[in-house]
Amino acid sequence: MTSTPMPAPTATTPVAPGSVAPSDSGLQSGPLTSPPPRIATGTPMIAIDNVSKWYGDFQVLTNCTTQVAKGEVVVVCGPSGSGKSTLIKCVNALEPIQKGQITVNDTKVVDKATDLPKLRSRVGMVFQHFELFPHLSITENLTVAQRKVLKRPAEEAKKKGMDLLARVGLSAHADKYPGQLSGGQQQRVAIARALAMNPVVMLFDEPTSALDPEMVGEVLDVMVELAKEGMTMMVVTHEMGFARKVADRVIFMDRGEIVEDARKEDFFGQPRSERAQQFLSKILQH
Amino acid sequence: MNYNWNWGIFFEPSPEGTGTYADMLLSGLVWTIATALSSWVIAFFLGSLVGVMRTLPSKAANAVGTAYVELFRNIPLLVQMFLWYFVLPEVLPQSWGNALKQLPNAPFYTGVVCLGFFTASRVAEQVRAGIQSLPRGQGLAGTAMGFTVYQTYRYVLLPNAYRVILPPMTSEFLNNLKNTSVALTIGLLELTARARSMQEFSFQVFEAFTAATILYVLINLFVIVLASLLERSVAVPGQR
Repeated sequence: MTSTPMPAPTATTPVAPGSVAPSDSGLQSGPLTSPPPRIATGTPMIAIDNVSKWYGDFQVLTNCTTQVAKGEVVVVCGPSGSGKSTLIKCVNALEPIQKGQITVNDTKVVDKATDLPKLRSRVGMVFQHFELFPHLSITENLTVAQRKVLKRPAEEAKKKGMDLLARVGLSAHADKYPGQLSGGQQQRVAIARALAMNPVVMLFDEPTSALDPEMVGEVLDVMVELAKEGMTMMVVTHEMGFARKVADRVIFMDRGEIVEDARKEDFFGQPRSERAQQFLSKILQH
Repeated sequence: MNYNWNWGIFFEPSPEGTGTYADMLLSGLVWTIATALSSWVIAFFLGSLVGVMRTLPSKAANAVGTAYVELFRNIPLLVQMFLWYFVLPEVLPQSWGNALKQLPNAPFYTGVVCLGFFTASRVAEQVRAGIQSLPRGQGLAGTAMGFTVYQTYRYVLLPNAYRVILPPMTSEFLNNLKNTSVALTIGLLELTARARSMQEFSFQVFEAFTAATILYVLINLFVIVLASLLERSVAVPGQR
């Protein structure tokens, strides 16, 4: 399965000519991290620049640098403890960083002058454990931040919430509470809740790893839709099927470092780092 | 035991000249309830504030919150009553001290403040435990949606934390209610003080304290019924 060649990228994901993988799949020399392919022109939507982070003396991120262009879907994978969730949480400053800079839509994250709540309201985030607010109905979950953060009128917020709930196929559950929904349904509501804020970027932190297997598909379907619509997405996941289907690029992390940052075709075709090869052979052998 | 039981004593006029012994006990009950409710208002809001401070990332807020809790829960309530009532007016500037001493119903106000501050330290710990019992992702989710720290607490953390701690908070309310009896030492004529004076006037010690006991138990049972109704009305569908 690992050697299956990838289909050509679709028209929505143009590939810069300079970044085509070398045809020789033998041992590569030079740095393992290829420069991120420039897909879109202009400034990237997310620019992660030389970011390092420590928990006390323990370094969780080491000199991470990458970019996500507008409309790009980037999958971040790696063994557990490799810092991928931490990295994605740094993008909207849920985790502080000690070194480096992150820029989201031209706004610097590490800057005292930055209005972080405002920045975060434009960055949608979906969590592993959904994190719907259990005491609020589905409708209230979808509208509370629209009303309190964006100051939308209640009517408008509700309309927006209901439209999105319909899009994830859960209109019938508007008046239920999160505890009355299945995990897959909760995660779809969580995606709708994030979309209700009109985000410019969506971050997904292992959105399917807490789900029963039969519910993974319904959540991935929503994410695939979103990717097709041109949403800029950064997705931490182990779902390699999803990565093959919609990702433009795959970032492989290990021990806090970005070990490999490659176009999907290159990553699955011939990962250049030994660690990425080992990782892929482990998760793709079944 | 050589004791003259006299259950009719409640309907005999008290030496105060304005009613029966039963009236005397009931006026004590009214002061007990007034003290308990007023001090609970202080305990609830101040305790919630201190409890929240102890969960904030700010080291300064943490230190203030911790200092408050450790100060007020480590001094016996009785000693705190004496400190507020007898010591505070002496250490304040003289005019303030005199104003305090001349305050009408001084034992009531002092008792309310003292009990409120004392119970607040216990409420603070309940609130802190409640907030910390929530998944860390809840706060992150609120923050990630653009809520400020205040909004995250107001709309996400506190509504859930209060639901979690409703049972122990009921206990704190009951403790607060029973602790009003300590205020008799600074001259508040609440239920226990009234039972004691009834005993001293009439020598019917068993009747007086039986009545006080029953009144305390009844009012606490009433609180428990209210609390379980509250618990049911704020229960979240589909949880637990």
